[in-house]
Amino acid sequence: MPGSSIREQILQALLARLRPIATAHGATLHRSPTVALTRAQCPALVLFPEAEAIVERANDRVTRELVVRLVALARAVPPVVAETVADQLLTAAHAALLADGNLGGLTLGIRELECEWEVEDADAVAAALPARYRITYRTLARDLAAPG
Amino acid sequence: MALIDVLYAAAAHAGFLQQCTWHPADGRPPVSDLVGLRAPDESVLGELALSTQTVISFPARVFAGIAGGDAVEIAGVRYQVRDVRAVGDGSERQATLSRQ
Repeated sequence: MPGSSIREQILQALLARLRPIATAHGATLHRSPTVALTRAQCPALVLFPEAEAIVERANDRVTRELVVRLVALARAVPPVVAETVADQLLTAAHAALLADGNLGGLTLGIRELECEWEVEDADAVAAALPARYRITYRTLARDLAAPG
Repeated sequence: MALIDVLYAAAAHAGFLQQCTWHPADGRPPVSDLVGLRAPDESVLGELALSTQTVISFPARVFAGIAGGDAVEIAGVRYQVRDVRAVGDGSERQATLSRQ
């Protein structure tokens, strides 16, 4: 990915990690979808980059923290529990993300921050488990694409 | 004839209603009658997902005892009843459905 920032490379690496998990669970994988996902597209894993902050500047190096939100989305008609389906998907995705916290050398580490539960009445009960992760990485101050 | 029955008879005459078969979960025999059907899409979970809000409406005297967990069949498609509630003065009911 020449010309891409380290954070974009991190997001691409996260999607590459998540793709086989989605496939294994019969789920679809999306990055920052701009339209609502249909029932046919569920279960689904959805990745959103949320924010990035600089936490340290040392000489020409900048340490950054990128927060991403990973949502496991499932639909189920009772007695199947949509939250259970979403939980299984998120559990597998979490294990894949944390299996190599350095993402092949791109990052200094990945930390889980929090998880929430959202359930809503729908044509099949819709459950979303959004989990947030903080990814620490370093670049040169003058170049977002140069590892620091 | 009650007003609600007059209205539904007119709607049926105009072709606005659909045949619906109710399959009670307790094993009672199926019952068929005409219902109004709406199925608009709406966003749920903060615009993340799209859901078809399938709703049937019918006079309260029709499908007496229909409840969540029962099944209904409309145009060959089977649905599970999620919720049944009275509308207006109680002479009409609406049931929300999940496609099975």
